Amino acid sequence: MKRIHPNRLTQMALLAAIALGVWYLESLLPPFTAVPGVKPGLANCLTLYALYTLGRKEAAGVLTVRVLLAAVLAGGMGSFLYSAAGGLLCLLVMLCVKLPPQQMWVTSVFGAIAHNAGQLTVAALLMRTAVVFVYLPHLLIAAILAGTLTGLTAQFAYFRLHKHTKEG
Amino acid sequence: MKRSTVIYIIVFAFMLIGCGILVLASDHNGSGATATVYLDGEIVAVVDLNTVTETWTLAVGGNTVEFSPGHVRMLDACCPDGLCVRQGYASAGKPVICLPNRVMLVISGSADTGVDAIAG
Repeated sequence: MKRIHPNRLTQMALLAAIALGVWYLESLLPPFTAVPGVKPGLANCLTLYALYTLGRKEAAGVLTVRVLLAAVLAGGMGSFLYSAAGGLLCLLVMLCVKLPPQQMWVTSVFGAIAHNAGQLTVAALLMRTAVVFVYLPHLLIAAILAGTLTGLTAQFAYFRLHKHTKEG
Repeated sequence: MKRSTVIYIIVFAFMLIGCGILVLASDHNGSGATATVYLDGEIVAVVDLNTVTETWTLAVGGNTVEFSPGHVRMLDACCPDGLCVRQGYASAGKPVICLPNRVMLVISGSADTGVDAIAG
């Protein structure tokens, strides 16, 4: 196995730490709607940023660390299943549909849709019913809006910051 | 702006509009005939809402379900969010679902059959 350069490792750790903090702050917000699962998903900015500045494996690492630590620190088994399934699907889709940096927000929207679809599937499995899929249109709207928001945030950060943090 | 970006924006806009229509279409107050209460995917109670004359409550898996003439809703839930309580009365196109406690209120037997196919 190739050793990770300390510079990259530090950046990954930093991004994972920021993602965990953002995730925790967001979990303190009151729910936006009566439909469960509607949230901005701001922590995904950090996964996106890692994907575009560091690479695929590094983004997967940042996401895994964030989801696991979030489960240990705050969530129970139930919320871990939701965030793990959503996060994993989101990551897989973003890895497959990695568009140029100018279209980072599109990648983010696809990821958000996959995230919500994953969570809805977990809900259907846990509740043992397909009735939960009545939330699909609500969650698609939320995914498009939230994905655009987090995607543009990551995109702006990428173009402003990345120039200065290229590995020296 | 690149042409593909424009196409993405148009596709997402159409998805937003389509989903918006679906959401609005499901948000009517068709008072159904039968309310079915599920816990963990199992039927706990089936109540004909037309025969309900007095308001009464039922404790299901940490939640309190309230039946009143023609209506059913989640009155109370032990979870921190209480999203299902905020969802108000269940209707044919709008079941009330409590994810943390796996309790679900489904209305069926009304004139429109949109959701019955899924629920069946």
